[in-house]
Amino acid sequence: MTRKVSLNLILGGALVLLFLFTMVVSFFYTPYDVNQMRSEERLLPPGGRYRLGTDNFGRDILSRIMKGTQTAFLVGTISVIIGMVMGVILGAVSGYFGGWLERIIMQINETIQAFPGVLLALMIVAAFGPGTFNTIIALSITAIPGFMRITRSGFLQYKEYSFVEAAETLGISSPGIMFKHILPNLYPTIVVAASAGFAGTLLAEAGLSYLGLGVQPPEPSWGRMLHEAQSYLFKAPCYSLAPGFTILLSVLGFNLLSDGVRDLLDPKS
Amino acid sequence: MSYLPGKFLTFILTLWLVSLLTFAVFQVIPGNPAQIILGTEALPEQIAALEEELGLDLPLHLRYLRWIGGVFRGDLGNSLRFSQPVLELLVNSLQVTLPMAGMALIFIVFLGIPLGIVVGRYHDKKQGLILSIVTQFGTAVPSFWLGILLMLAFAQLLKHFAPGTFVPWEENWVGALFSLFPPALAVALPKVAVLSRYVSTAFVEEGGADYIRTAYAKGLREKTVLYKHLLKNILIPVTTVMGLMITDILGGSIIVEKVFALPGIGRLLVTAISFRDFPLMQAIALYLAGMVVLINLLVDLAYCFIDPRIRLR
Repeated sequence: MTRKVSLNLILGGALVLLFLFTMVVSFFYTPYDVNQMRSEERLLPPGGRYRLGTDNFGRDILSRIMKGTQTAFLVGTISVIIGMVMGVILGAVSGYFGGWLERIIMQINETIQAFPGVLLALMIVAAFGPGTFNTIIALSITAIPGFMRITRSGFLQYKEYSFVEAAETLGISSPGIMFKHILPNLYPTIVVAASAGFAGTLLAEAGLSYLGLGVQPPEPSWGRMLHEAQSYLFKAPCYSLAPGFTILLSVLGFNLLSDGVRDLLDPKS
Repeated sequence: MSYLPGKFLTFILTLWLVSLLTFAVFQVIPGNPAQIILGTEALPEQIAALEEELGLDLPLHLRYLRWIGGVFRGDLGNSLRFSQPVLELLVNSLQVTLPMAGMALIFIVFLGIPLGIVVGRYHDKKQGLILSIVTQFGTAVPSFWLGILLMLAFAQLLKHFAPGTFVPWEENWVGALFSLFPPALAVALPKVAVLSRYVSTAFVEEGGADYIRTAYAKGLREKTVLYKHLLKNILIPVTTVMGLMITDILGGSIIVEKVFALPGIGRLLVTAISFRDFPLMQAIALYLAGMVVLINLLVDLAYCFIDPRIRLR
């Protein structure tokens, strides 16, 4: 079997690595102080001393975008991990055991999915207040159904295989069969879903922060930068472009990576 | 259980759970809601009066019954911020959000499906590759950023377009449609890209099927084969994706309305949250989620029409 490393994988991998690199660098170095305001240098266009210009407080946009990768990756990583663990457990239990347990879990799933992600997040923010932690909780819950669906369908398929029957005959416990024998077969699918889920979470976080209900200032967030930039749309259009393109490229990177990994693992597509 | 009754049962059960969840989320708020709403300077009598109005003196299950009973009678309570019946506010803002969501849906269907077919048809040629790259970018664009860009473009190109204004329907319906056009486009375009990718993938997979070869061998024209034979067979996955997308369209509208400062349900929700207007928040959440559940049921019903075999399962 020849495995095809597609263009998707190369481009997606390169973009994701670029963002990861930027995040690591931003811990040690940004061109300017992220929160330093210079009232005499407000809304400067790109070029010159400030590569991407300055914002309405005279802060360096490039530095803020770099620092924003930390926020985006923090929220994205934790939300996807929580959503994945919960989704995989629920999906595994419902797919493997079936019966009333499956029906209850599916019903919960159906109920969560009735709320558009933004609405669910807004409800949580309304109840507990805005902030990074509550944004993570909200996005984790939104991420559960996707992971649950693919895990469940994987378990429904694999539990019919003879290796599962063999393991049952050997007297291996149900959790043992589920998580040691069946689950490893699903790792590739889950990795693909995690990468796509990460892209979705980045978009959702940006949206919430744009509404002013996600990550709170002074922590730099791409969505929040767009919110601030909109007031100066006609005066400084470049201010709106920089964070927008950053969100676009980060989401694109994880989407491409997800497609690339899928191509790599599934030679049919 | 057979297909249709099972779906109806799930529908009712999900609606009930949605109402419970919506109710519960706003009960767990730390502190006394009446105190939070009125602020620290409120007199104890005022707080007591508001507590009674909100039914906070009742036990939890009675509060739920009171609320849900009101929902059935069309009485969603009064908004604390606007001192108006919630239902009135909801109906007013829906006149903006529903046409916009509808317009977005039209764009998605009538741009996404043909685009997907074109990409699928030329998937091994240069044109297909270029279009595929474009759609790949399209899926990654945040709709609210697209909204900001469209606002910039419309305001620069068409001097008549004043961003952030909504012309009421009764004043001038053409103007109303025109002011909904850019936000609907902003919501729709990323979804057009998503749908076209699904359609093109399904198209390529299905394109090699025997019945397609037979149709061509019969000497049918390409258009007939593509739009009559093939499209019918990829309708099931496309309907599934569309159903999932409706949730995104509603969610996307919440943010895009804010970009264009449209007086729709999204703006109402954000205002309700900022002012801790609990009756209003609860009603909007229940309404939006209820709409999603209803649409899911309609999608399930649509399957029966698209593929009558499903009914028999």
